[in-house]
Amino acid sequence: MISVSNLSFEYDNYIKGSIQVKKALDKVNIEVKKGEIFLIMGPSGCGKTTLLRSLKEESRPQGRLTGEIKIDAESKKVAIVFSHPDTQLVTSTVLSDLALPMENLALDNDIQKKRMSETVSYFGIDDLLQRHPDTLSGGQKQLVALSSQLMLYPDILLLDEPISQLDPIAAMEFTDVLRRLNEELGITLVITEHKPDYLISMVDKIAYMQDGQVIFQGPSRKVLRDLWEKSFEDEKRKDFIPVISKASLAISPKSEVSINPKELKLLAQDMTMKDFLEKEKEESRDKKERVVAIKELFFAYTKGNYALRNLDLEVEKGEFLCLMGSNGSGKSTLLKVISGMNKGQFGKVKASYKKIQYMPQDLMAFFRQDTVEDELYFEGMDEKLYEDFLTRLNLKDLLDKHPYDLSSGEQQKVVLATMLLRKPDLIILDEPTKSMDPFLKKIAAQVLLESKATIICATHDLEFAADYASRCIMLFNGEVAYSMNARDFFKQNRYYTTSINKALRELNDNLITYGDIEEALGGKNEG
Amino acid sequence: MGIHNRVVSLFNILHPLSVLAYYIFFFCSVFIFQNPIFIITIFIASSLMAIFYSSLENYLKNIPWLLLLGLIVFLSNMLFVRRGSTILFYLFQNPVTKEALIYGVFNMFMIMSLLSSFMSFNALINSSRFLFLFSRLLPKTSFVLDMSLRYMPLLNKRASELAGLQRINNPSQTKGIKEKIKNSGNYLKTLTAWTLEEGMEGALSLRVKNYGTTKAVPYNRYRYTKKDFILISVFALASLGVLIGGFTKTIDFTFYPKSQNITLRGYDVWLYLAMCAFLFLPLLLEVLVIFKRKTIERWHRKND
Repeated sequence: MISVSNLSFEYDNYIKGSIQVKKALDKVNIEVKKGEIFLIMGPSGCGKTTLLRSLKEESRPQGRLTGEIKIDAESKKVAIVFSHPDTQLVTSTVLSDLALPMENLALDNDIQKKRMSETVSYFGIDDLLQRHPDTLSGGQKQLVALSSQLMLYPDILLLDEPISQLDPIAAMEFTDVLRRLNEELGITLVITEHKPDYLISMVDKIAYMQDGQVIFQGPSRKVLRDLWEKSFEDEKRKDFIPVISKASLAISPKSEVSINPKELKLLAQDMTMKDFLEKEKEESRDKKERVVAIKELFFAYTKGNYALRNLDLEVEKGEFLCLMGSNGSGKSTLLKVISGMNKGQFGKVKASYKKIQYMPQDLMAFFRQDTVEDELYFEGMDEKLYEDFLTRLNLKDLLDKHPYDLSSGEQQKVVLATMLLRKPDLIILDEPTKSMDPFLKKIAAQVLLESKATIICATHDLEFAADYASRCIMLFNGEVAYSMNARDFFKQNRYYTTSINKALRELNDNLITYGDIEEALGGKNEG
Repeated sequence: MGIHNRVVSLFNILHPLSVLAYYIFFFCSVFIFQNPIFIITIFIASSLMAIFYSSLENYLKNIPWLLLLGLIVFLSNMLFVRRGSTILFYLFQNPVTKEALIYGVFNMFMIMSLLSSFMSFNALINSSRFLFLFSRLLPKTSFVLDMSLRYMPLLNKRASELAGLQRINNPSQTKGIKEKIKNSGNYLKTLTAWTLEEGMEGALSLRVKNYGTTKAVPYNRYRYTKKDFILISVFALASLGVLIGGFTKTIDFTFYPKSQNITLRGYDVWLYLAMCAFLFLPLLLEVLVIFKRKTIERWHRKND
């Protein structure tokens, strides 16, 4: 269906008056068969998006492309969905947006109506038709963007990090739609993703890319094993293996790699992990200084419609607090109230800090300068820390770029460094790991913890919270439903918990993160 | 009240062209009929339409402003126009004539009719219907208009988001008037860059959807039924009649120097009745629909 051979791509990068030639793809070969689900994975900036966009004529990036791309379908039978839900809908009603691709190809009125009605019914999005796109959730927007292109009956569907901007529930729902399209209609899917956990169970083949080259390619279980076994030269490759698969490889390297919690559960059922004892976290009982104290808070955006109701919250100095809960449970609202951006209608909010830094969900609002360097640099800053960030977060190549020209993952790095250079003692983060690849997530958590600041973070990323949070709070319906230290939070939850805990809780409910498994097996190199 | 609470509203389910046809007739009438009695009737019709389609609440909210504007027009005409031959009284040595008074009333109600008609017009022709009507005439322009309409609330939302965030993250920068002005400039810059950046992505997504490759065929959103055909014909003929009447001076009213008698006689009565019939047709039809539904409901209740 798709055959790419020796594909290279170069583009001119205009930096401070001089032109540098950058190579995004280097002699790439991939082969996708009809009806396959093909996943392209790898760290941010490895060239996966460039490769994917090259597969459709209209979306090819500007630059010099050499090599051969053979596709057994007309260009209009190749549909592409991008990662940002906002920019793919351009009109003021969902219906107009859905009709747009058909209108542009001048299909007959009867055909338009037929395809519109059947597609809308298939996805069950009838209720959205008359709505304004801005009132939809991220998942709904992606679904609309996808359905509008499906009305052209495509043979190949290209998806550029389609779920990276969605919360886990929406991501799972969208993934199910993709699975249906493939299983029921046999549409060939090519997907890029840096965090393939949600997709891995349905993927047929994987290409792992790094620095513009395809390193591993083949059936998904084989590539996962390759990543595990052949990553001695580059330890961070292991981080890209989905947690479930990684756990199965650690527990039983010889058996087939697991790609969903059920497989891992069956694989591990005969094992005993008795040597893994409950981690006794030293909890100091002495009262610490309170940074945030909220009492009986009510907050409403519109009259009588409370986003937060009767909310009590105390945050102690040095805590890493994660706010969890579904969309619309009031997480972002609470962060805005704590930071003072929004004021509650009733109740008391007291926040005592010297310096606060806030990372919004939409990072575009954060940047003020024309280059990353100007953004980071300010007079009287800690030069040593600056140098440290440049190397650890790998920012050197980004310094001369405009913040808007960076990928979402790169933007998050820059925002993080900018915030921490200002040495805040209270850090507020709204979905900080959304576009981070697994390796970057690790580094980001490290620098955050090193800052010794109090951190309040709203996140959907269960693995991230399990790895690094000291306390987790479940927000539900504008209230704090329960608050526990992070381990107990995941230990006691049945559904809202990490995939490892879901799979292995019967074996030992203390297994929550991948780190726990390593520990239970007695050190990293145990095989 | 209001259109959204209504189970069935005939005019809201009609083809947008039928609704437009009614308003064309309405606007023709406003500009051509000059007899104050006609104009007052038109105002009553447009008020009832506004109450029926956009809710009483909305009407009462807007009516004080309409009255204020109407009164300003009325008073200024009465006080400053010295044409006319029948002097009623003197105000600060200025003659106030009966003709100026009548013309003032006419002007006041004309303005108020026009403005109040927009209340029902807005309710019946929402933005997507509006764009549908004009995408036939100016496809590209109306598409661009549609896209830019999206940005109004979006920019507003983003501006407040931006200001809020910068206030938190860089509190030192928001002191002093000079700094504040400089900051606002910066916000504007960021906002523009942000929107333009998104525009690039939007353009890519349009290109991917083959925008502009062929002459687009608009999606058929509204069904054109026999009802629409009849109503459009009726209103088109009525508008034509009014226009011809206006141009041939068959429909005419003299204000100055001596005002015609405003009472209706002979031919005027027929003209008035005809105008009322067309003007109140939507409301009449709505009442019929409601009456029909009520009767059916009562019948069901009896037979259950």
